[in-house]
Amino acid sequence: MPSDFEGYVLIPLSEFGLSLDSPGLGVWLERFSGRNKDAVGEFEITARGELKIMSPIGIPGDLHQTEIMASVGMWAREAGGRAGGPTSAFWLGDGSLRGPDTWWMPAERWNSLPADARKPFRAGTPDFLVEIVSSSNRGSELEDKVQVYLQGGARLAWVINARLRRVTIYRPGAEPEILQDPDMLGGGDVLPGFAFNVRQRIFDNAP
Amino acid sequence: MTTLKPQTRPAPEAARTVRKPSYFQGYVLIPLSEFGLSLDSPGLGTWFEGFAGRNKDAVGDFEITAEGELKIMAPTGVPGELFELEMAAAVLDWSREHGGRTSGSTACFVMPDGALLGPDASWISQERWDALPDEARRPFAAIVPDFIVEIVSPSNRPRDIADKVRRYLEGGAQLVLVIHPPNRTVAYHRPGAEPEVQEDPETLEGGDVLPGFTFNVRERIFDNNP
Repeated sequence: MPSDFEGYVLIPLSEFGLSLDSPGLGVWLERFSGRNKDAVGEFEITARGELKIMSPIGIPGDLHQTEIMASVGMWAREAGGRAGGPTSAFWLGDGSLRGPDTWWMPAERWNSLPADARKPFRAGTPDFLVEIVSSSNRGSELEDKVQVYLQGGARLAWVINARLRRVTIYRPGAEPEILQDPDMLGGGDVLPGFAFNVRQRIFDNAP
Repeated sequence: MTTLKPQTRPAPEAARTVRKPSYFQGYVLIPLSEFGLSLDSPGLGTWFEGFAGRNKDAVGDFEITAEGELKIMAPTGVPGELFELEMAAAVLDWSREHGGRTSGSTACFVMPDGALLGPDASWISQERWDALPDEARRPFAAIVPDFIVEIVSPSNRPRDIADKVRRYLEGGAQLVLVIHPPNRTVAYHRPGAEPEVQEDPETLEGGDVLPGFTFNVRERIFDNNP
């Protein structure tokens, strides 16, 4: 019998006999996720030391995620670097483990990321991140998360709210820039030449 | 190789922000094996009580399924929690005169198949309760109440309610009432009989199981939207 829920549930790691400092935390999460992904959903470790169980992203959020991930992936094929989606999670500076909806970083940075003692996930923050607001990733929480990304060295982060047709653009040391119902988003200095038609691919894309 | 984490981690988020509770609708199932437990673990009830006590505020309500899973359910919101209270209070009031043991929505009971279920309100006859040995009462009573009420909330799925009703009846419940506030219906389930569904009734009755018990379900639940 699978779970049937929308949103997220937080369970202290101590309930599993673990803490943020447990050397085997990453391996445990990978195996927990492997055993329970089909029945439950997606997982993260929060900076408070909780297992966060999130409902699967659902329709049309899954399509939106694929659209932006594919666009960044196509761009990276030409421009280089490593791009990925939520299945590749990162240990962030606040001790949490999270898989951004889309991310990119230069190949040399990816290769230089230290293999954290708590493999199999990398410790570090991608240069570019995209988060899509959903029932398991509320806007206010993503804002907190983006601050952690920026502290960890991210140079550009987009938070896309499809329901409100709004994109918030975050850069280190600058006020967030809110775009209401934008058409094209540009990668600027961080992803030179990258452009994404957010209106067509996400806002108006609800099959 | 040393880890980056201790050097780079700033003050924990917990120190800066208020702890956020879980935020969900519906239910999540986690196999008991993830906690190093199974339905046969002797300490299961004690563990469950401890787990619920530690996590109720931040997470929600809990049950253990017959399949050996921890079931985490969204907390009952407004006005469902009021309905549960109204119902349990009425049964409690009746049992003060007529005897027996009434429980509200925090009580859980161990079913014959090992599942741990919590009805919204329930009543056990004094004779059956007295016959239950002490070790079968703690931390959760291994008994199916004679009278059970389930109030359908947004986090209940119809098939789950039907499954619970079936388990209750198989376990020896004499009368199970399912109240559906949005539909304004009350379904009477009795062992060996087809369910009887009443549309927008004014009162519900305890029948043979709770003689003389009546509850103004229209006023207390259907029309009670504070």
